[in-house]
Amino acid sequence: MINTFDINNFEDEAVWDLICNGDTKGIFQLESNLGRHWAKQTKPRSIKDLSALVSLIRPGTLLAKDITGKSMTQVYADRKAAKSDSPVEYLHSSLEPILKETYGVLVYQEQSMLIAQRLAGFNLKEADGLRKAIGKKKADLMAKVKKSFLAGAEKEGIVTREIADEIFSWIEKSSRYAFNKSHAVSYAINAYWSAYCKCYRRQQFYETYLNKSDKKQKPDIEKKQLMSDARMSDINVLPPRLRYLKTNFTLIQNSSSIIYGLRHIKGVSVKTCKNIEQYLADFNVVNYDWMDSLIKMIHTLNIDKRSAIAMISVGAFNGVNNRLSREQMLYEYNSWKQLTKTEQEWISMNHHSGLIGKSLSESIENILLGLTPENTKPKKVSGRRDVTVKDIKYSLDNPFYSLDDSVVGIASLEEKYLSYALTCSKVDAINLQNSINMCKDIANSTIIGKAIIAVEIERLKIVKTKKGKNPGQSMAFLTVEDGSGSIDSVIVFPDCFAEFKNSLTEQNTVMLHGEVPAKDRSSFIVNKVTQI
Amino acid sequence: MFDFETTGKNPYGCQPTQIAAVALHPRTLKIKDGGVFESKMRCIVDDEKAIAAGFDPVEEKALEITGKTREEIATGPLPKTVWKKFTEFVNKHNYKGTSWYAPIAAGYNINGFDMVIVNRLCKSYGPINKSRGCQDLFNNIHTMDLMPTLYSWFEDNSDVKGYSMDYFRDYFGMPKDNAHDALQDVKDTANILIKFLKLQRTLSKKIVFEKAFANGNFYV
Repeated sequence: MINTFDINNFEDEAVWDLICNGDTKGIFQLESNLGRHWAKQTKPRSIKDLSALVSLIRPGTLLAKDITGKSMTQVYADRKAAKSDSPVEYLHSSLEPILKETYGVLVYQEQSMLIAQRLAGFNLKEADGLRKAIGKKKADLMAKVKKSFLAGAEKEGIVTREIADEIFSWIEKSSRYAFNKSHAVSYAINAYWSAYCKCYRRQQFYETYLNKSDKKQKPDIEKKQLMSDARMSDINVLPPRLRYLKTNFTLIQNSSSIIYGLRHIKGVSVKTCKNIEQYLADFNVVNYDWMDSLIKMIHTLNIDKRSAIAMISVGAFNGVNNRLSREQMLYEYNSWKQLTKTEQEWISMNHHSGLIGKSLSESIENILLGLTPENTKPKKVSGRRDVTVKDIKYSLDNPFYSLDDSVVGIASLEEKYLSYALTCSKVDAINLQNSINMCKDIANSTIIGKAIIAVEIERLKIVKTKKGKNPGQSMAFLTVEDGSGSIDSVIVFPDCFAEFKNSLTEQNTVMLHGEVPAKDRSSFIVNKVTQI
Repeated sequence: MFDFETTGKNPYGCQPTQIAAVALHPRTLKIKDGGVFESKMRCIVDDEKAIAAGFDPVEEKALEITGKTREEIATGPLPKTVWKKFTEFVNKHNYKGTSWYAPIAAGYNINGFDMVIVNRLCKSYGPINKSRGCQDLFNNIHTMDLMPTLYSWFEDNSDVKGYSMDYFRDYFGMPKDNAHDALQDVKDTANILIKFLKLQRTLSKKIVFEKAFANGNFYV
């Protein structure tokens, strides 16, 4: 491990291995699926390669096709991999020194400028004029530049007029995608250093990125991907508990676990976080039971209903003395909200008097319904209110539905409020008889051939086929997850999709029978779907 | 899937005496974990008081059917308390928390009877959809009423003489031990519905209606 680093040293093999393996979630410019895919394909091992990759995964380059219909990104990847059907070719040998580093593909605008300088004798200002004309696609300016390019090329005499013409039109076409090299290199350097952090400070990397996830366009998806990615690296994000109530995602000292930050729970307000933070500075809540949490925290700190429900739902009030199910706490909290403010205040005031029961029902019985001892002032509800309060107590003593937590229930609540089921996965509820594989095995390419996975379908993307026997048929790409993590390269081909499309719906839990192809061991091709 | 037991036949004037529901998983068609709800509901049994509160008097026939006494239906939690908990129960199964993802109400003759009571209770205790002026607890568009399904299936079958739940309990060979207990009724209805859904799902894979009239062969 490198303890001190040289800001200009980009030769750490472990960092390049990480990029080449596609472990690029959270890495600047490479964190999308596209970035991961092409990082694996092009296997960059230097800043030069990486800046080309950063330029090549831009939309223009991916859409731009060569004469055989391949995208320029694919052409670059094939040439870099020295595939026999993709030899490195130049329109003229004089272009080789300029285009060699990008295997003959015109990637950067600076390359066009250099070509103009070399072949047409442009000075720097004229070359910049060419860049601007091409970039802004102004026809009149273009015609003017083309004229001086051809005239310059004739004067220099390195290439014939025909080749100069061909080179110019080639540069013109590249305008759709060519990228600014200085920009690309600085991107690549940033990407390298973020990969460096991921490589050597993986826990802190996830902690920081998770805390910054709310700045992203889709924070929920970002958090989910980061947590799933962290799990693949055996770094667990734990849901908040009384023992660990932290405002932000926080790494536990000497462990590889990160505590989920309260402010990132959907529905928890900033005010609630601040109040809790202040409260925790003065009080130790580790030993609180449910009634302590309800009175001393939720009631006294004036935690709003939305925040309270969200926190209960993710088990934030569970601790050594509170093993109640989340369903039970939610049920009791909703009953608590049915009491009037004065009634809540009566219960709260008596909290220290020893009158408060171990449960809300007992507290209502002791304080509101009149079993007050002699030394306290009786606070009895009366008249019509008495009937309602007795009713609330009845519903607490005789719950109308089961208040046990179920695996699916916990997973659904955590997905809703934490964006990701941390405690358990919906799939865990199913008693699986068959020997099955896990998503993590596929993501880490440790299996090959036939495989079965039991998963929840997280995202379903249906597309029409363009090639194959019958173009225009529907097929699907799935993102699926189980307790070990998620994979996004699950492919359902048209025949299989037609047969099982009714079971392929988002949020559904299914068993996928299929195979991991030898060619791309991180993908999974589905042959059969079973409802579980 | 839910059912009310009531104090009369008129859904606009009766009082519910019992409510039961089961939450079915839409794909597996099994009862979800923690997906059973059941409660008594307190009624006003005094005829004058009931009329004053805007309800019909308790019908003796209804008591006979449900096998409950006036004393029994006068106890239990108030409709408001039960309804609050019932809405919590239904919302628990609304995974995105929006009306569109709300559970679809299912049952026997719910369109003509039980949904009317749901609307009444929602108007009194919420949740209500202000723009539609109806309940906002279940899906606003779809309901799955088993009665029209059975009617469609048996309309050309002269062996079937009636369309009451009691008749079908006999017809399908179901025990009548706890009949007209809300939870038992819900479970019986669920069993029939699941049988039909399984059949439909098998058939709909084989029989394709897409472009069925594209050849111009209309019946009328």
